[in-house]
Amino acid sequence: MAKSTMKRKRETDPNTRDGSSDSKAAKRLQEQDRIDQLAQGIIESRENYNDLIELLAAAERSEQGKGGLQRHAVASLFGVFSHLIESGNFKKSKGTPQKEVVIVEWLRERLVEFTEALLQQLPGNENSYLPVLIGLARVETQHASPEALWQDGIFARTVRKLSLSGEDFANARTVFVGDYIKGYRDSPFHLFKVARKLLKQRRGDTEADLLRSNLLHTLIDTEPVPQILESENFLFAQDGKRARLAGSEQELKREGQELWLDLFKTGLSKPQQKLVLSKTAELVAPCFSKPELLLDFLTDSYNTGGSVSLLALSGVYYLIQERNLEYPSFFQKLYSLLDDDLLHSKHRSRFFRLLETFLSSTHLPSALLASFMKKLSRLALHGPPGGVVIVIPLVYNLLRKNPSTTFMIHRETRDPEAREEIENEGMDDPFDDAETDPLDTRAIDSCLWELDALTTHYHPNVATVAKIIAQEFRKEAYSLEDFLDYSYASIIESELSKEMKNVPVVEYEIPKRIFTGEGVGELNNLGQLMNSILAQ
Amino acid sequence: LGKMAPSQLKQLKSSLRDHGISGPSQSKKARKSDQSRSKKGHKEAVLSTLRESFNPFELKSAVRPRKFDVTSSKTIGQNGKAVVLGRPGVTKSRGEELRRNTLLPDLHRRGKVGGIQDRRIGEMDRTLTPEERLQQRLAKEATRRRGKTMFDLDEDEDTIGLTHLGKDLDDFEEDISDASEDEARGENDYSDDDREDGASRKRRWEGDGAASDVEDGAEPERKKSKAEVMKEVIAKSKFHKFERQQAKEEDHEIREKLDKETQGILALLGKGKPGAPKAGLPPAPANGISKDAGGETAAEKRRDYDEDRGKLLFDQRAKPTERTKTVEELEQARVDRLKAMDEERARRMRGEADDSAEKLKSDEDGDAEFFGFQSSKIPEEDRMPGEEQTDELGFEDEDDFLIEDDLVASDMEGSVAEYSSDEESEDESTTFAGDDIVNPNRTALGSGRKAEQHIDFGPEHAGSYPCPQSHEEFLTILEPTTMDELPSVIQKIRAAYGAQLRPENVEKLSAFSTVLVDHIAYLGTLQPPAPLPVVETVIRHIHSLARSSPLAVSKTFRTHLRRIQTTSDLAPGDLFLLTAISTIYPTSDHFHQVATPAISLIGRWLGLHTAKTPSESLTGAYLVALALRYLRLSARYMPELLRFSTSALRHRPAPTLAAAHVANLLTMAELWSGTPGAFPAMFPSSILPLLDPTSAHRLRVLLANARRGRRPLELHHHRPLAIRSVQPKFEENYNPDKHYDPDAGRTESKKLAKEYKRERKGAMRELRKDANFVAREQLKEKKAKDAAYEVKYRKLVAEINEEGGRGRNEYDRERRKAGRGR
Repeated sequence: MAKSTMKRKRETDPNTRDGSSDSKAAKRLQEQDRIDQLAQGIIESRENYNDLIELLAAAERSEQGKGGLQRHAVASLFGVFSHLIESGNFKKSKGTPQKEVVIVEWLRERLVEFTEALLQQLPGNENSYLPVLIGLARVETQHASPEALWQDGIFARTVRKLSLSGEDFANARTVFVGDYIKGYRDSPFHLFKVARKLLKQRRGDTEADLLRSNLLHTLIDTEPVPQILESENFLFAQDGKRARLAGSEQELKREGQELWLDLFKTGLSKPQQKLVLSKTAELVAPCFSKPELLLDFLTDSYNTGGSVSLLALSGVYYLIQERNLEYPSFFQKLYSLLDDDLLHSKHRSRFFRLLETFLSSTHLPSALLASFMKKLSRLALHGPPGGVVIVIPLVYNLLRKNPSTTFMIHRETRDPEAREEIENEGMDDPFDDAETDPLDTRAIDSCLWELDALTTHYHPNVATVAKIIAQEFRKEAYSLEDFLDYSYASIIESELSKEMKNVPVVEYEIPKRIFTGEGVGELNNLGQLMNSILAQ
Repeated sequence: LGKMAPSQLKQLKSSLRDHGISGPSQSKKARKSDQSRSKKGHKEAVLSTLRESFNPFELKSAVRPRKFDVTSSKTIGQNGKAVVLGRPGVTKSRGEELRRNTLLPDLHRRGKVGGIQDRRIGEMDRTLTPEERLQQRLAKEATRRRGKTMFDLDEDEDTIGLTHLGKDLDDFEEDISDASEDEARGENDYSDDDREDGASRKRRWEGDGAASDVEDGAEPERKKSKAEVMKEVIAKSKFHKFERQQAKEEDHEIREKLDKETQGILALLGKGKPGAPKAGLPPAPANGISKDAGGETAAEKRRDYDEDRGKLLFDQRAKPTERTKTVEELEQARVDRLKAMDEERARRMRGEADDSAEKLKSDEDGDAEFFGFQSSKIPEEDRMPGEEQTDELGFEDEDDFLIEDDLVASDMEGSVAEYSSDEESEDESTTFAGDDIVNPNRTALGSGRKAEQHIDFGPEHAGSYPCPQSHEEFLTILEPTTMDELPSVIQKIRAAYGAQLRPENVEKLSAFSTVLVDHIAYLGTLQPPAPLPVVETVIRHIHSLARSSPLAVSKTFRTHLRRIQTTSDLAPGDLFLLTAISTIYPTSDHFHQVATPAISLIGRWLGLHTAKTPSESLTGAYLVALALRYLRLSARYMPELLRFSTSALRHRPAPTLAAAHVANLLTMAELWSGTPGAFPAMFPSSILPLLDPTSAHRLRVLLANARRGRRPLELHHHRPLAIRSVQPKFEENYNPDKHYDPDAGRTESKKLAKEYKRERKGAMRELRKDANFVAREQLKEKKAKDAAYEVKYRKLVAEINEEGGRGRNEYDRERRKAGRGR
């Protein structure tokens, strides 16, 4: 039947079209017919199994730019293999005759060949080949054991290929995670399993790096465990009896935990560490049924210093809060995080959120709080406007809450001798900037001159914010959250986006000179600098 | 307790007997001894009290009996008797009476039209004696007459000065009408009045009397008598009239004198035509008349005069000029103006200038409106010279003109400088420079130049340039010229399109100013780069133009700033723009719509860049110097400058660049040495090794000064915050009836609401009573009608019966007669 219709088509086609394009199209149709024929033949009879090789060749042939034909071949092969797997042609048991075993082995080899071919051509074809691969994997899952699935099933092969390839597979990875991992209850479990297996294998350095980075990015993109558990979609285990494929909650968590620990063991680079740390609380920690296991990683990161420490802080806080972790000399460590780069850091709002929480404790000694305030003020003196507007309300809140520290903004010298001495000789700042122990800095004896200086900040809004320190403390507390997200961009944007309400004042005096100096042909310092800029 | 009280009748009898009204007749002796007290009055009073005491419904008193003095003080009188709160019977009967007098006639008159109102006084009143009637009529007549001619001074009021009880009879009349009004207020008031006890009423009467006494005592001096007052007024007005006449005569004399001198003045004015006085004087018809002596007819003279006056009115010289000021005065005025402006600037720097900004804004709005008004509505020939507005414009022009001169002068300096430094075109430049010095005036400026063919420098030909409205147009204009001619081209365009020449020039120049702003951004992109003196002159031109069209220029600057915001790097053109902003706008303002975003952009660049490459370092050095220029007056603190300069020095730049950075650092240090507290934290000693020895020494000195100037912070010399009290406020002599609401408005509104409620209730009660009254009356009428009908009916029936009876009797009689007869 099919043949006859095809024949008719072939006969009618030349009548409707002419020329070279016509012959090309005809040729393509011919080839498509051929592929359909072959596929049909394979499904119909075992004798045609050898045609698989031709079909595979068609599927692998990509150099001619015949995408359509190739896809046609792939689709046919998908049909063929699904059929073969479903009809039990891939099964072998102890009682299977030797001849059959050979055939099964051969078929399996062909399937692997097909899979590899698809994986190889994945970049650029993610949206057409990934569904084929996953579809095959689903069919395979129904007829094979989970172990096989994780060992060298199609899913495992896909994950391995994706994890071990470079940038050209980046898009494939995102599509894979987005379409087949996110929103499913079972596939993350399989992913964890396969990933762990991959990590256990020995590899060369470059390959290991690649694997680590790819796995990390894939994992970062997955959903956190609680969300996985809530999901009710199953990628593989559709019927009830296969539900065990999805793994129980404990299994899932254990896999996740082990996988993360394995990843940590491989030694993460700094950016990778930061990436993990930024996701610790929401993604990594929920996997850990024993969060103490995270401690090593977190404390190591916390001790690294710099922005890694800032990020590790939230993880450490999580452990302290949830797991009663005792962190020795926590505040000393916290104090050491207040360095010059803090206010310029990207993660400053994150840090200040936590810092506010830590410092809001009612059991802290005033000397310690004073040290924090003084140090923060010092930093604000050299910080960008966005940082300054965070520090000032924070200090205000601290001062308001701890009246014993308000001596830092208002200290009247009562002793007449001492006063005279100060009048005559001035005074040094008692604050010891280099001291690392916040209890010993003597900041409590110092004053917050820095904040006073900031009231003359060039930016009007910052100056206005800075003035709250000198005003009466009427407000209970400022909400720090409102001040966290200022940056140069947002500040300038807010100024320029406003329409001019009134006519700007123009300077009344027109200056005689801008670039030129007093003498003829002379330039002043601005002019000279400008000249050298222009000369470049 | 077991015994019941005797019956009412017995009680009455006994009390009558007790009071000696009834009972056994007294002996003659006793009667005589009683004679002293007025017998009849006494008896009446006693009877009324007895009546009251026996009718428990005549008096209204508090329901509750006496309890405690404190709680029920109002219901118990001093003598322990219940206070009479009202007399329902009395009030009711009064209300009834009032209704019968007012409502009943209305009711009867309902549905009837017309009628005659008798307004005669006392015509039907038999109680009035003829004298009284006459007196009343006279009084009425007098009031009517007085009302008509209230200001009739001739009338001597004493003639009808009828008085009563020492008061003018007219006043008395008014009192009467007041009283009747009071009565008309109705029953409500009666009950209110009745609620007061006799004592308080009496007090009020006494109080009133006392008050009137006081008034009488105070008044005699003020209230001399109307006649006297009027006499004084007349005397005063006569005096003023005399003064006016005198002044008028003086004016007249002066005018005559002026008329005599007119010829001479006209001759001075160059007219040679007689008959026109100075235009400033108001045209008085007297002038025309006074010139009759000349021999012409009055009409001709008038016409001549009007013509001349019209001419002179349009004569520019007719405008009153300001007195020529001395050099010192001018200098003083300039100094004053600068001082005022600087004070204004200082206020803005402190961020206090919100209201003044508003004021300024409105001023400028007014200006803008004025310009718009002038350019769109009034054609030039219709404009009237010598008006306020033109005066103002003239002042502006003068101001502008000064700047113009200033600019022209600097142009020359600039070109001299430029030409002597620029050795590209030696021969031309020398001649030009020579020319310039020898003949420094505008027409000669371009003589002997190659570009003469393209540029006509004479102001009369300057119109050959169109006023460019877009940057492209300007570029096409500039195409044939060299860069060095740019200032003079701008100068020409500005001169040709001066705002005072044509009204639409204002808009044109405003567009041109935005073009110039675009042009300085463009100048930065040129290769070879534009000479700085030229850029400087362009910036100064923009500054001058920005004073007349601040909005357009500022908008363009802000557009450029927005463009800079989107890029991360600064081109030389952007640097030019930022530099221009630093001079054109008052950068010391607390907030300025152009300057603040500009310095924020500088801050952003410095904050986000480190001086890694030499070019970055160089741009940074320039920006730091520029930012310091922004801050030089306000001495504000800018952390980015410090951070950038120190990091630039740490990168070990080339010596010249390092010198620039060090110079910047020192400027900063000088600028911020006013905050000794934070100064050492700003300039930590780690900077010192980066500086050259002399600068380091200077910084050390400043640091030592800062140490000496440092004092502990004393920021909170505020009044301590009061602890919030939750205790209620204790009121001495608290009266529950009084309101202690501190909010006066609320008290007022409460009072009003209460009054409204009371009035409403009263009115409703009155209406209800009225309705009852009407119903009662109607019922009464109906009953009367029915009774009358009944009577009539009975009468008729009786009549008929009588007639019938009579007939029957007659019949009987007849029958009997007949019977007997049979």
